Amino acid sequence: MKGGWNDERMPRYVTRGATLLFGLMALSLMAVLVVGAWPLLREPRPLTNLMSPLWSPLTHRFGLVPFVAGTIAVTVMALGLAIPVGLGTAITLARLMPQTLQPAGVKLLTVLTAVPSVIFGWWGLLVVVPWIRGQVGGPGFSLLAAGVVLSLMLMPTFSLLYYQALRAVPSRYQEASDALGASPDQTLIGVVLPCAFPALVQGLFVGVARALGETMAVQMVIGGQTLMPKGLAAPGATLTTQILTDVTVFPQGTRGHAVLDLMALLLMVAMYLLVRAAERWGTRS
Amino acid sequence: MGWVLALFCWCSGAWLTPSRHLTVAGATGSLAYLRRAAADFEKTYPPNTVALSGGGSIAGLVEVSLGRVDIGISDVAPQRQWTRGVDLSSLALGRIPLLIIAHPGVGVSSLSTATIRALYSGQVTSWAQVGGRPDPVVVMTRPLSSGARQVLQAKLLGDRPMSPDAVVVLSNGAMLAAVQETPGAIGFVESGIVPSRVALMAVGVTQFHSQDGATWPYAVTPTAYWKKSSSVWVRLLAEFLATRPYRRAFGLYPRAS
Repeated sequence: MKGGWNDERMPRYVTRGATLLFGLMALSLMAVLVVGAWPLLREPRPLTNLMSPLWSPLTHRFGLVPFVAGTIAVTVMALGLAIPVGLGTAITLARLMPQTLQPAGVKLLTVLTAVPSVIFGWWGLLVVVPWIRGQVGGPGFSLLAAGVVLSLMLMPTFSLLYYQALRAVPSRYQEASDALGASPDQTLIGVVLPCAFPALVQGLFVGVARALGETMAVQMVIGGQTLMPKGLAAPGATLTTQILTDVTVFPQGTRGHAVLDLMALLLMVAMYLLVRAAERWGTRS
Repeated sequence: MGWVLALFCWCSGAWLTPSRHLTVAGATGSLAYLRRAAADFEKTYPPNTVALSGGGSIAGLVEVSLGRVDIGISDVAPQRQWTRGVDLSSLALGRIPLLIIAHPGVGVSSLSTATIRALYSGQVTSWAQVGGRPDPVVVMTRPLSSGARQVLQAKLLGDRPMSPDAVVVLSNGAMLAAVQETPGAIGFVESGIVPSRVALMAVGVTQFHSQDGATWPYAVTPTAYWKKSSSVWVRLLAEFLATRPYRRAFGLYPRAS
């Protein structure tokens, strides 16, 4: 069947073509952002304006510090809440729950990871924002609300990743620890967690990447304020939410659009560094 | 490989079939009306289909100028920086009153334009300063791309900049919900009817009633914009959207009156 559809070369061409297409898409995405941000990067002191805490597009002031601060605050809060709960859930699922119930638990977590972010945002609007308003006053739209909503989005992801990390520890290590008379807690802390550590770290970086990139749910509850955050219960904005808010205001070719391109580029670089860190730290044993 | 080929042929066929799929994007204030009118257009002129999306007035102008949508709906007049000089035709859909609303608990029912400016610029920070309850003022606004925000700035705030402390909400509906839920909040919505569960502010001595929609001094004018080179169907859709008799039921009042 040489030259026909069943030719052995055909699948090879298709897969290579798909890989090439994927690579080209990734490169073109980077190229679009770099070209878009280039007029800004070419300016004499590009960082001076961008490092300012003032975002006022109408007066051509494009300080990114409030968004970088907002991004860091929301991400740290979300991780601080999600990691302990995610790890706890994973330990329960992997070590305490009967084997027969584990598949159901995993399925439930898998379903939760697939819930669209807008639903978490909606839930945040209905529950988290009023709760924060009731506890600390103010509008309720805040970095704290964004952190809580994001942490809930991350918990199933962390739980699943950590569950898989714990399950990957060879059972003979645990059996050896048990045979030496270690208690279940001693086995967990002294054997299982250290063995799973690289995978746990890898999961952490995956979670950080997701937290940095999340936009919709965060946008719905953060308040969109472009000032330096006055506290965790105050409104704010992140790099992604501000791109979403202002992307339609600045057509291509304007300085504002170049700033948005640079913000997107910053996020891409941050993601790349996280992936590299995950590769580096995740493979260390 | 056969199924790959079949899928490719099916997709190609779908792309190559002459399609009359029309797209509309832009201001969110008239989206409810547009949904109804677009559905009527599809029934009246089959097999046309119409896809609607929001994004805000400026997005509507940018998208139609770039040719990404057939019709852009905007509350603000086109500027060169958004349209890049593309020649656009236009047809006003009507006018929608722009209403100043506040949380029902603020204890105030009317505001002068000077007070609205002071509230929105952040000069007044407590409702007690304007005769209301001692609650802090929470200013709610829309993004820079919102036509309603541009109209508020031009007609009520003048050259006074909006408070940077304002909370930004993305759509007309989100603004209404946020003001309903947030004690001390003040915001603005495009609406031809008196919204429920909020305090509707009289501006000066003028109180808005649903029958005053055509004469209320603060209003946005959602307008359909399309490229002059567009097909006859695009123009037909724009005319259809601008002439439905039930526009008033959605708060769109005729411009002439």
